[in-house]
Amino acid sequence: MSPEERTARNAGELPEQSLILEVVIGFLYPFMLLLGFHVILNGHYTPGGGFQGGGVLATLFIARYVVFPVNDTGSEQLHLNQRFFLALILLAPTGLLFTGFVNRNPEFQSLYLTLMDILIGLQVGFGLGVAVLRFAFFQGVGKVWRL
Amino acid sequence: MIEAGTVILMGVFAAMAIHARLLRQAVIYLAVFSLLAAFLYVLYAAPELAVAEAVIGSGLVTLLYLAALKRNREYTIALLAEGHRYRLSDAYINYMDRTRAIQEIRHFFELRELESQLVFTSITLNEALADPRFSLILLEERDGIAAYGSSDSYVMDELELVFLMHGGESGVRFIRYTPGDTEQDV
Amino acid sequence: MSRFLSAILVLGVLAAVLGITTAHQEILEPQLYLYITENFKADTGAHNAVAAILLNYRMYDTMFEALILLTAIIGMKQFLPSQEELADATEDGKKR
Repeated sequence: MSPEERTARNAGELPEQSLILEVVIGFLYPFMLLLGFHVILNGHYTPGGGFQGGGVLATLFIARYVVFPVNDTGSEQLHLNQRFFLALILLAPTGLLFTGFVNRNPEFQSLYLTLMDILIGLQVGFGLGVAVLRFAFFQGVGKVWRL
Repeated sequence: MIEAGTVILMGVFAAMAIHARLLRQAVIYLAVFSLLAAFLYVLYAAPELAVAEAVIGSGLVTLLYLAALKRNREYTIALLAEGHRYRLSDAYINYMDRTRAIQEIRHFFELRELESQLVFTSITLNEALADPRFSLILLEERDGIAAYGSSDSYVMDELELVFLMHGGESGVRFIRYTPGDTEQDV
Repeated sequence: MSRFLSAILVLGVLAAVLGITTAHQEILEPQLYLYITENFKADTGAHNAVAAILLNYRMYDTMFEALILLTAIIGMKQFLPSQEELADATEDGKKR
């Protein structure tokens, strides 16, 4: 937690959070990141893969929301990243797989699988992150949510 | 054996999620269902999938459901007893609960799976109109019931339409107000 | 009571499905299944048949799955606008 966040909380702008939650999630945060990338990078060895690793990466956004519920991440930027990786997902197989390049050169095969796993994992992570942030920080459209 | 037990438990929790009385309970049952599915993945030697299922099913989806449910508000209906002491007695409450108008309003909220609660209160109409907690204010008049619906709520538009179509039968006069109005404004 | 009956119904259907599948195993044509389980390692270099199918044999499926996620999130953004988008959309332009 940065100093300005700490001062914002001390100034009473944020609801008081449990210290246990803060410490435990702060401790687990790098391990969640590590687990996500482990699942993504071992996609062709284990039954995990891009989607599963991306889901684990998206929990980082939840963890941050639970400890520090301030909307400064910018879901627009995340969505831009997601579209960027989606374009790469559409381009990479078109250039590598459908031209027969990968199947002709067996030394590139696991490299291609890892590349696709990383792209899919990041795309899913950013996408689910946008979804979580949108739901968590939605304030309501005037009278719609009063139904 | 343990697989069959897990699958049967999943079926039980799925049925419980469908038949839960409150939506919050259903969300928790679904989270347990996902956890059992994750356990099944572990039994089939896929721990990565199990982690992902537990994270997505029990974490992400539960959070999204709860965030959506948080927006679902409870509707408080105030029934005014201003100036009539007998209107706070049990007999009057029982009588009003069985009138056609109240039954129709309760049915209206039940159809839309919205929570409504009826409050018998002795505050005046002006105080009730100024109170933002009340969405609907009922006041018994000489020849029926006057219903004051808050205008910042879409449900009240529908309710007004319902009573416009056959409000005469249950004797309801529907009036819209914006919160902060006094009795003379509406 | 109705809850009890529906639980019985769900469990009965579940038991029936499990019983039928264990009693009567459908024999599908085994060629594709056998081909994939025997050759996926040489074909794709994956150590895991699921990854081989998802990322090589059936790559189109994965591509359009990714597109579906994008579509879902565009719809979500449409229904849950952020405060800035809301302020841009309202006529007077002031934040609610």
